[in-house]
Amino acid sequence: MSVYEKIKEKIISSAGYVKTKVSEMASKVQKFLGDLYDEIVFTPDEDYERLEACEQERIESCLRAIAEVLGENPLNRLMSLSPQERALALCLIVEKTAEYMSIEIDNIILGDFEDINGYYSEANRAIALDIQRLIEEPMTESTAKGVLATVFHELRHAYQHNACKSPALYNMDRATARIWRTNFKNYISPSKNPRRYFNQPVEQDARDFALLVVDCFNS
Amino acid sequence: MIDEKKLKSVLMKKHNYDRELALQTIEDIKALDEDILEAAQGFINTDEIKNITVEPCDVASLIEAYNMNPIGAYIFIDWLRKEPNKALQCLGLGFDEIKDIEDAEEEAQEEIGEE
Repeated sequence: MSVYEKIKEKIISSAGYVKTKVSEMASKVQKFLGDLYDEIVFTPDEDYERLEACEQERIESCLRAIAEVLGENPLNRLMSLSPQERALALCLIVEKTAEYMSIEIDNIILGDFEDINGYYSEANRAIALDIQRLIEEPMTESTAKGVLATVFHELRHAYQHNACKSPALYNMDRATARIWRTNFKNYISPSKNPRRYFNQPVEQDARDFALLVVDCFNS
Repeated sequence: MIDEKKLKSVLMKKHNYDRELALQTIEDIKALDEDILEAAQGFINTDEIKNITVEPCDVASLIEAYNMNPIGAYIFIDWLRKEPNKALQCLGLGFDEIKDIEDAEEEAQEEIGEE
């Protein structure tokens, strides 16, 4: 028997011991590194079915908030309100949805932004909405849909911000959270590169989420 | 011929692009159609904006109505020519932004300092 074969045999015979030791070491490293462990040694989640159910719950939270504020026919109701009432209704929807989704929104800003529909401020935990579309008289169904889509688009950014910090707490798979975290660090504004803005993961996701919510109701 | 080093410096120092986006945008500029590339290079060298129209948009109105950086407007016009449905969907939905991302801004400032 050659030296190599002897070594191989030795390793095979002590495989159980090696496996236990490696597992112990990994556990110690994980404990020592805390959250950093996930950054270095990444393993994907396996409970996708549960995570998908949580995503559905988030959509239902949005629909519940809309129903509570605007009733059964939200588009018609929003169109029939005065501009001041619309502003109030949207602020209420933001507050209720944030509460149901356990996300923190400290400020809701209504302003004249001209070139953008709204924004989410990460540092100020604020959602801003363009008031020009809100005060449109008469408000068309398309504008009503667009305004509500913007609300849920910006709320989704707030959710992404929370989820990429604590994916387990916010029931988001860690792979997606990791992609969002990287995207937040390298966020592309529409004015600098509109094509890459449109295609970046956090914008794609916020657009898809808002569409899923808004497509659930029609006047 | 594009001077990539100069272009990167202009994008970062003059137009406030962070390093990563500057590098990505250089790749986008290199892939522009010839007429749009020529106009974009003209803007980079002389600050002169040559208007290019791809129906239903033109560079000047993108800068005016959407507050686009001229480089961004040239990229959009090229996108509109190559993928009209997607570009128009983007325009139709409108733009939003995520602001006050502290880490990213700090990193961008550090990069400019290193240049």
